[in-house]
Amino acid sequence: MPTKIFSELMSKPWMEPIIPFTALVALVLYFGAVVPNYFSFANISTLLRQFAELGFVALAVGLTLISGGVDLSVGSIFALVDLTVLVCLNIYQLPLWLSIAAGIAVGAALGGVNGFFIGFMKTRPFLTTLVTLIIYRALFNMLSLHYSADLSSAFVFNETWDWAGSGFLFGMPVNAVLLLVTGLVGHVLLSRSKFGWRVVAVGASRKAARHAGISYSWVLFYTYIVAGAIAAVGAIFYASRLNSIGSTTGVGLEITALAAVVTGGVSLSGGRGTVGSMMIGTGVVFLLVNNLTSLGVSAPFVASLLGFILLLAVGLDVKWAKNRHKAIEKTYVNPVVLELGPLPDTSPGTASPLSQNDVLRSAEALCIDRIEGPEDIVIDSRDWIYAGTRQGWIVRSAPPYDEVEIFARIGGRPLGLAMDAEENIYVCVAGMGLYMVAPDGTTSRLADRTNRSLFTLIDNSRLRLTDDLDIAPDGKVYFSEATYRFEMHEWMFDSLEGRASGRVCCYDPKTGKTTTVLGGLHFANGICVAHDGQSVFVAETWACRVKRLWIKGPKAGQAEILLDNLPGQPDNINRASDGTYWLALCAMRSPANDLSLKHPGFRLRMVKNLPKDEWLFQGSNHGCVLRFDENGQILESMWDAEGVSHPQVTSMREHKGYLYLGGLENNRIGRIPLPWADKSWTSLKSYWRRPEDKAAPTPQILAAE
Amino acid sequence: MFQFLSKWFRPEAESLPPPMLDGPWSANDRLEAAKTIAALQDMDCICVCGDRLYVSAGNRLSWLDGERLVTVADFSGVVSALAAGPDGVVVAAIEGHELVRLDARGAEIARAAEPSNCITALACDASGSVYFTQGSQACRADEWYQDLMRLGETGSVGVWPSGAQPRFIRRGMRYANGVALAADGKLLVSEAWAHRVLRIDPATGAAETVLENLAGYPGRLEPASGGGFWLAVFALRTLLVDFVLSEPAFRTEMIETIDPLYWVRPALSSGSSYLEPLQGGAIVKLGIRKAWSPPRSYGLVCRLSDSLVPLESFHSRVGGSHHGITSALDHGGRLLAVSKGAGKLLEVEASA
Repeated sequence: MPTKIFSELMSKPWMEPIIPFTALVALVLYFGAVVPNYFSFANISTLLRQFAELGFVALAVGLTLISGGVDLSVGSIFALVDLTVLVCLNIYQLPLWLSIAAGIAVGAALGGVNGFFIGFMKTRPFLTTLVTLIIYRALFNMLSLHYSADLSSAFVFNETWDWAGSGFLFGMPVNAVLLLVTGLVGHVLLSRSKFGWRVVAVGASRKAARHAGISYSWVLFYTYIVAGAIAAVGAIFYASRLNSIGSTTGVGLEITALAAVVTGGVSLSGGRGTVGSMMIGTGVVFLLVNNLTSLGVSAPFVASLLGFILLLAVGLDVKWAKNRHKAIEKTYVNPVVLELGPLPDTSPGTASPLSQNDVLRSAEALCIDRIEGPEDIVIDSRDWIYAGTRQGWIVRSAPPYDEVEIFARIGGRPLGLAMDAEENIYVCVAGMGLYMVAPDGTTSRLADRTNRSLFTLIDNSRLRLTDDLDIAPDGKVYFSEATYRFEMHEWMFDSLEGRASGRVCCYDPKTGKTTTVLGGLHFANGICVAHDGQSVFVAETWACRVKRLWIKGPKAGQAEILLDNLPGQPDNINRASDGTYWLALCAMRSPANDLSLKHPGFRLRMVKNLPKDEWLFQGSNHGCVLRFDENGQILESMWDAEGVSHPQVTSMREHKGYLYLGGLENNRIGRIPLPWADKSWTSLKSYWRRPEDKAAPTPQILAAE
Repeated sequence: MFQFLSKWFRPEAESLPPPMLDGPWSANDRLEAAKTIAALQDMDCICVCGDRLYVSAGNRLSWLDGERLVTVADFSGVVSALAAGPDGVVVAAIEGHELVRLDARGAEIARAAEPSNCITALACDASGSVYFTQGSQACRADEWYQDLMRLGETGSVGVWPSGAQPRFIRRGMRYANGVALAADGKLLVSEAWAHRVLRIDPATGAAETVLENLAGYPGRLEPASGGGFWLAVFALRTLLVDFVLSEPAFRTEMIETIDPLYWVRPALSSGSSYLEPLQGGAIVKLGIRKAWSPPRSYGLVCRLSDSLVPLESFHSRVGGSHHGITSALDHGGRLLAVSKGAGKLLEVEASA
């Protein structure tokens, strides 16, 4: 259990800055205990004001890091903007807003120079900004020499300017409030806007971004302009606080800012980092530098400490990026105990309805070697067979079922199928969701998400392994999601976990909304609406049982166990012509595998130590179809116990006196005659023969594909 | 270092995974394509004595007359091993009884005083001394899987000199399962659960490993006519079985609660029931079961050179039926092999 929580937490993006965040809290507590009056209003507001100045610069550096580069010239830009604003305000006596605008413009322009070289000339960000760092600094030195005499004498009193430097807004220093606002806007921009996504994409892989159609030159150009402008805002507040110029203004600022954001977890290799993590890192570095200096630690020592932190953060960053998903991978699979009842006896030649026979073995093979993995099949009013295949297609075949043609290309892995009164095919596509294919072959998406469970750490709103479905008389589609923890190709992990991560969802065509109606199922698989439309049967594959969920009547919303302790793992369920139901067993239970379900540690070590092909599995090489009634009585069984022609039967559909068989991994559709069956009965008529049902509402389409 | 650590934490774990079937061990279908010359349930061991090919199956000893099996003798226990001695004498090990020397009509000549149990293979030298391997002291030869899954270490090699009483040469072996005499007078003994062949000095019992980390569990050894030996490998190792051997809790409960037919273990034949455990790679896809998927049962005979270097091998792979080879020798230019899993005597044209 702890490893499950650990792995789920680790997969959360907001867990990335957990280490710097802990460090930040620890530092605040430590200095609070050591420094007298640390938590006084005066001290905190002073700290916040200085923190905000660094914060802006850190944002600028962080942004360039995410874009895959770095801006080392921020310190020099900071100094030049500082000078610009003060000169505009005090010497040329320009209005305040114009001076500020001039400052930001200078910042943006200087950033633009960086961006031009990096984006369009394709120079390396590190060298480019190192060069501009020197040039801008030289420029600053020349200009400040020129203006210093005038600046020291000139002084214009401006109330707003003073307020910006020392005033409060909502009880906080003005610049801290503005930093907060900038941070929030920046966060939204970076994580939710097209520009932000492009910056991240370019940072993660310039080549891939270009292949995706992103003009990275412009993206980088804008990134450095924005970075310059943000750094300029910090410089303006600095100017308003000190109102003077010094030769060391902004010297070494880039290193502090860089250390800050890298400590926060912004990756030096680009494409990874959030505004929140930048601010946490800035907090750590700021508190260390500021408080250690005020505690009397020598400046060179603090500087070397800063370098050490930077080194540590860079090292951790590399290790973290490399090992995080490995840690998740190693701890994600968490088997639990799943105890099944004693194996039912199925030996051949007994009077038991479960007694083994060879009925399925001699099934007529349709579409043999022309179809790959028909997990489920539906048959329309013209007797055409439709099936989903492993290539992500819906294929169809007309009598006499020799040839197969592609009807629709959906993608994903189409599994369960159902047909409505208009002969639209509803299909559960693993990895994609609930889809509909119209009789003309056009495909539309009906649902790809449901409401999120309240008490799970992982966001399970996105549908992952949608499995089977059926349509109720009112047009609502009940469908199963086998597990929300794994993808289709990882189903065996879910089998080894033995957890109840499956659920039944309901798509309402009137509103287009999907809601979860039943959770906590062990691999929710086959779904079938009862003949009277009052309940839905749900197969729980790993638990080897079938549940009945009432959707109408006094017990609506309740679920009860109908079939328990089956000899194998149940898959799809479908209606039979005599008012009973067909149930496919996709795998048989073996004593050794049942035993392993009682030993979660054994399964975990098996997953870790053995390759997938060597794992112990349930017996998928045998075919079995059962028929049961609404009282939970098993009436008969049909077998291909040696799996000669139908290993792993995953579905079956009765149609005009025949039973058609599908298999997830088979190369054919099987057909066996049912001598007792009603020769005119079809599944389609069974669902939609009544005229009022014809008026089932047209599904509301979320998005046309 | 890591091996040391893993030994420390999981002392039962196998240190080396089974090797790939490669080089002289490369898979083929020569054994699967072999002609069946006789079929009898539980056929186990063959030996050539004079012109006759003797076959043991269950309690019965027979000889092959053309395509017909003629009964020589019926015993009160399972015949667990055979060997041809000098002068037309056949030596047989009877489960729960003694080693016996028989003449060509099946009449008993001599009997060892000590009762024998789980004698897995016999070999005679020119003086009439009988060398024998005993798989285990705890179980019968046809319940060898009990010894494997219980990590048996009670196997031994012994000798029954003509006219004297049997004595042991080496004890504490992990299922001694085959013996042959080398030209230098030393014994070659296959140790099944240790997946190796040892060369043992019959006088001192000192052993050296000559063939190790085999891909399967070695069985009987027979001298080949052109020099060298035939090694019957009755099943292949799988990572899963090796893993289960290192899992005491699971293994113990399996032994206690599950029918041995359905244990996670190697078998002489497989696929008859869905109750047998299945490994992921063996799932039938699009009607095909991969021949290279993890085998529960397998057919394999290997020819070794004089210096015990594997030269060539004969296979019946996953999906085939000629599995569980317990005995192999060449006779008249043909390789004869007993597939105990299929209950068949097979004939392969041995390549030059």
